[in-house]
Amino acid sequence: MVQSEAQLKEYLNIVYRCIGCNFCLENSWVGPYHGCPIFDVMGFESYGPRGRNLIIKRILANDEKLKLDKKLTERIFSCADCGYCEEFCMAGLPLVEMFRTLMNYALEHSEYIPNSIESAHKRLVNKDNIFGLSEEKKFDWLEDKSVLDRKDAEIIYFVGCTTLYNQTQIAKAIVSILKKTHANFTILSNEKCCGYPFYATGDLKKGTKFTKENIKLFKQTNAKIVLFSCPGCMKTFIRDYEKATKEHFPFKAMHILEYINNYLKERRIFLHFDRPLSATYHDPCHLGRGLKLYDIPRELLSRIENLRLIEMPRARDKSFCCGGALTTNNPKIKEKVSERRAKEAIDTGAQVFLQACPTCALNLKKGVSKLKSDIVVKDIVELFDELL
Amino acid sequence: MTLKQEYVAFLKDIVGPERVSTEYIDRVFYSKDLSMDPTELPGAVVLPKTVDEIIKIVKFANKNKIPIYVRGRGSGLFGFKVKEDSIVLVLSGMNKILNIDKKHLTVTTETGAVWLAVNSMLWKQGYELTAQWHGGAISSTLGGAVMANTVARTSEDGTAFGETVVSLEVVLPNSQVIRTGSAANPKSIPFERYTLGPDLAGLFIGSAGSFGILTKVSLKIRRKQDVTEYLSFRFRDYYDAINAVIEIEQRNLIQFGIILIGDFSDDTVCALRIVLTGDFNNIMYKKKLTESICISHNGEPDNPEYVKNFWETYYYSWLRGRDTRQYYIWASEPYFCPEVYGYFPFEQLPKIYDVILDEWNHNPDIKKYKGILKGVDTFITPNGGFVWFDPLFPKLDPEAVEFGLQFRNRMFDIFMELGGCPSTMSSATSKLILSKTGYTYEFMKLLKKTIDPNNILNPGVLFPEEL
Repeated sequence: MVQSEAQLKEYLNIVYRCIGCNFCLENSWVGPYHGCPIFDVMGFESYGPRGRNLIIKRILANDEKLKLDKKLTERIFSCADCGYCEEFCMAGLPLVEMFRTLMNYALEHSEYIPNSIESAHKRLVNKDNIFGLSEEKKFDWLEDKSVLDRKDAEIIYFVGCTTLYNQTQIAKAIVSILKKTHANFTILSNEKCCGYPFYATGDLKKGTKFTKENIKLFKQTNAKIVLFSCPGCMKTFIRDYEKATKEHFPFKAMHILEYINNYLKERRIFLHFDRPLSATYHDPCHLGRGLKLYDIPRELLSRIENLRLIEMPRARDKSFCCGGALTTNNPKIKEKVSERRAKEAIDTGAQVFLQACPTCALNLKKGVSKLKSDIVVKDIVELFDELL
Repeated sequence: MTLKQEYVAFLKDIVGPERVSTEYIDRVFYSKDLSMDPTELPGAVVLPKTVDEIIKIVKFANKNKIPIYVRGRGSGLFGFKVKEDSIVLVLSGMNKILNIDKKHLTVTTETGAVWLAVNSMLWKQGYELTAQWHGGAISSTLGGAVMANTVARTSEDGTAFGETVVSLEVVLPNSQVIRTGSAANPKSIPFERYTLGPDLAGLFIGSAGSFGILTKVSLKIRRKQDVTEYLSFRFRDYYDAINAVIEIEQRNLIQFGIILIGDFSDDTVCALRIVLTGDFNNIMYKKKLTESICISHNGEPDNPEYVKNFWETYYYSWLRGRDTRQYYIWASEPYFCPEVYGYFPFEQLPKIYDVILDEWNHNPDIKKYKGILKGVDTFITPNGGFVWFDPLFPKLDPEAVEFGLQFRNRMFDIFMELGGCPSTMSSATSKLILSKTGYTYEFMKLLKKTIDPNNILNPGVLFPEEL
């Protein structure tokens, strides 16, 4: 029996505890909205949590009629890993872990693994980053190379693949903020992917390998704090890694928004715009449901005079995913999900669409551009870099 | 078997290829509700988005004599099942809120709108449905609530969900579309149910989709109440509790009331949980009077926080003082609930409680199959009580499942014998229940034959497959 099959068997008693309440996919507290982004777009329950539960049940029952064909495999991988279902599960089922294990089962048994996943995993193994880009251009965005590999730094800024190779404006803003606030920080030039894409498809062995290699690098410095701009990376280090290995992440993990908030709070600093600006804020799944950081972004924004925050209907723990892990798991569905979230933001009438995650920035910019809206998508750090 | 390829192609032409599935996993998923009753697999699952699409599908099904089963969220415990080679129409995607009419106090929605979703939108504008909640889960649809005629958590305005219906839009088995009540007049709006001839809405409410496919529903709304208060009492005698309830109902004091039977550690036999709503002027009067009535009937005050937690979080388990997550993992293995339910007149309530508990405590098979008594609860209605009897049996033991289903059927028999009137009908239980109504059932069959001569709509749900 392969690993994933044994893991699935552990869910036998758990999966049947589902009471079918639908809390995993509805967002009825808010209005006629769905919570599960895949179900919202695809409409059939087999794309949502209850359907995935049924797939696990049928596998565990050795149902010979259930064929792991192309369409079933597509359904299994169509999960955004957003955690909405688990957050609201009335029976308290570990749905995220179950669905990740189901994906791992498909990786081991199906002949129809989506190309996007296979190629992403290959890129990671070969190049240590999800984009498969070469190391040479890794720090093209960084003007002051002296911040690299400083052994005496107190803080390591772990940039993460998406910020490092794609949303570099976020990395630039963070370096600028860290300098403006006189932080003793460094960036490790040989940082690797955190391993999230492997965790997100249930391959804990490969995932933890990446995390451990990074931790080893961190330990070669004198730093006590690891700072993240990507909540996905942060959650991987302090939640997924700990869950998979039962070992604690041996550093203090901090999201950049926590860092800025502490800095401003300690110094009682308030900032202001010259002209009134309206903004809406998207709670990234891993920052919100994953790390429970709902108040800090809002507290930070409340420190800016002339900024009016207009909440979207689906906010905080009920936030609707930007498409997240679908970038590799099912890019077609991801586009539709990003568009729906972008539309919700546009409908608020805000001028700026804020978030605090590079993957969200990437997906939501695409969503906004598809809808031809002039709302400006920004990471909160970019806003603070302008004001500090 | 999946539907013939040519049929599937035709359905895809109507609704688009992405909204038709013949995948095994979808056919399994949409073949049943949350019950454990055996079912067959449909030939295709279709997600229509418009009334026009439904009309075309009904015409097509009639022409080819293909059974159609209509479904919302499938969150019932009643025993929904389908026939092989049928089409399951899933209406949960038709969930728009079409109009909130504050002058005439109605809301009109598509049939797949979820109860709480509609209520949440109304709350934002200071209104709410007069039927707060209904029997199913939070995400059950309004169409499902009407077709099952579920039980609302509302005592002031009537408890049967159907009582809040103002108008319905229905696609008949012959594919014609009709509207009931004032909306039948094309020049009018949905504001009055009992007009323009017989109350046709009543034909469809509780009909389990046998006479037509519900596409729009207009329901009564009211201004959201200013204040909510909670009371809780324990009783050592059923009659005391029921007498208190009768007096409370005569004065129409409460928003919601429920009697809980079983699992008390002391000599308490039942608990009464009460929710009161009102404005600042009358709420304390209602509360004091309700309290006095309960105490005068030997009620002992209990923790009102349980009721508050329940009312605010929607988690039913709070009524028994248990956090929800704890509630559903209390046993070492997964259980299913072959629910038995029915309206009873006040005087029969103590009898049915005694019979249920006697059966539960003395039937040796209950222990053999590791039965657990989840609860015996009674929603208080203006003219009686709606009793839910929720036994639990192990889900993964086929013998226990079979016993549980047989036990449910036997209990329905007993309910009918004692004057109980089960409301929601399903393929698993309707024939057993309705056949006891004699000519009334025969008349219903006659209506079905006349309206749906090919028996394509939900065959075998309310009536036998062969009429």
